[in-house]
Amino acid sequence: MKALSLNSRSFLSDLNLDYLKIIAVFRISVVLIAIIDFSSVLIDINILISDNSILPWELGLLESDYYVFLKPLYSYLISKDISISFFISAMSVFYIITLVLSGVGFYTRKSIFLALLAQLIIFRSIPNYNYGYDNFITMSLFYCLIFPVGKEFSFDRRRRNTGQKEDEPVYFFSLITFLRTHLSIVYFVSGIAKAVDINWWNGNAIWRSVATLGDFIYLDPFILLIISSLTVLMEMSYPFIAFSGIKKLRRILIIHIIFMHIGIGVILGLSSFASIMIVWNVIAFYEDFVKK
Amino acid sequence: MKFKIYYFIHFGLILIVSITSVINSFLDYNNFDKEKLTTLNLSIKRLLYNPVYHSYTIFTGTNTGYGFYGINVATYKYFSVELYDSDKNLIRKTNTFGFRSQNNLARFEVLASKMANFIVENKNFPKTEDPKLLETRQLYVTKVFKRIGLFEAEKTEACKYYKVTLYTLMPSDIREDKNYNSTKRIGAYESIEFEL
Repeated sequence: MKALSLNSRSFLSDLNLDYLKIIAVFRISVVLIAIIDFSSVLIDINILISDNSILPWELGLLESDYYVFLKPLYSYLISKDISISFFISAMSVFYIITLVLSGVGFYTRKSIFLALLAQLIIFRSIPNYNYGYDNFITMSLFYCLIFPVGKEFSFDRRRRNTGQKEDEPVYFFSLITFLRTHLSIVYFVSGIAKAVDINWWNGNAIWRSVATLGDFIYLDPFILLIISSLTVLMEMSYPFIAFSGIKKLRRILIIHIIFMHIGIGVILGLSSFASIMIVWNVIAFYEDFVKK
Repeated sequence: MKFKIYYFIHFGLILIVSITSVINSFLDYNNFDKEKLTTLNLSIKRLLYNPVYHSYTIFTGTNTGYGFYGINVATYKYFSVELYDSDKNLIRKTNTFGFRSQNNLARFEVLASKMANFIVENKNFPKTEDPKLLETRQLYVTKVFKRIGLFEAEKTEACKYYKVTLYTLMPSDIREDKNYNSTKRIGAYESIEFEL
């Protein structure tokens, strides 16, 4: 653990990352994850939403928060004889283009805004197939929109006067603060929810979440008990450690959280979700791994 | 100062939504009487579901709780469609619906989980509520099942009848079952037959 921490610290300090560079890394990482995940969704987009999808768009939207926003849009398309399949294909192309432009930092803020709109239109049109990852991508794009993520590692940088010194971010309006606070709420609330369920203290919850029709290796129930209990304790302690002054403790916490998400990604197959959570944690606490 | 205000409002409201969601899940799971919390829930709903804030939460992606994999962890659920000919002989059965990506099948299984919760809510529908609402909810379930089945049935010319079932895996208690990892107990939430 110490070797991992020391090696990462050396590597990251060699990159000379300041605030603007690290939030640019956030932008690029979010865009890459979004593109990779969406490429996977595109393979079966016709089943999820099209003129011949498994559920008609109206039925899919009926029980959702987004009906009032999206029904007028789809009703308009139908009134103009524009097929849903064509619309979704066009939106998909638009989404990928705006993501690429956001990633390379070309008119970054405008590109991110358009990518966010496209993400909302596409994924909120299929609310029955959304899970936590989709909300996290929306949140990530929103944070990219409001913070200056396009000022480094971007085409936009060439258009600016690079001689200008950038001010330090205001504490209450810094992407780092926002990510730390948001993650603290996410993990703490998730930890509370786990803590009030006995299954998270006896290991049953782990088995309930991973069990599928396929085969699974046998693990001693005591090991599952340890994993689930530690998960609860780690999540509940997250905000206290995240905002404590003990850097070493924060490093240990983040490394464990990252391993937890890697495990979730591999065992539950939620690789996109695991990736975005790892990015959030790494960016929120990069200072603990680069600064002495 | 304005940044500080935005920070506290943004995260304050996220915290309220998250905590309320966990409290309601806890009360539902333990079958507690939520009527005492009706006033609080309505006040919070009025505060948070006004058009301005509701639109903001949708745009920012913050219209979600964080109790997933929390109270009463959801078990694996899936739809299964069986296709029958005019003599009611089984032609074929599927639970993958032609998805080419495991990731997308996992997305489709989110619908299975949501429908399971919806069906349970229908079964526990309060007698004091409008019965027409329950009727509408049951009709919604039937329509969703019908469309899922029809999607497969239309691929098979000989199909005359189809049955759609929502199954759940019922994992064993790891402390009581020594073979918990190989025991496969499956239960059905709902099963509906349709004729083409």
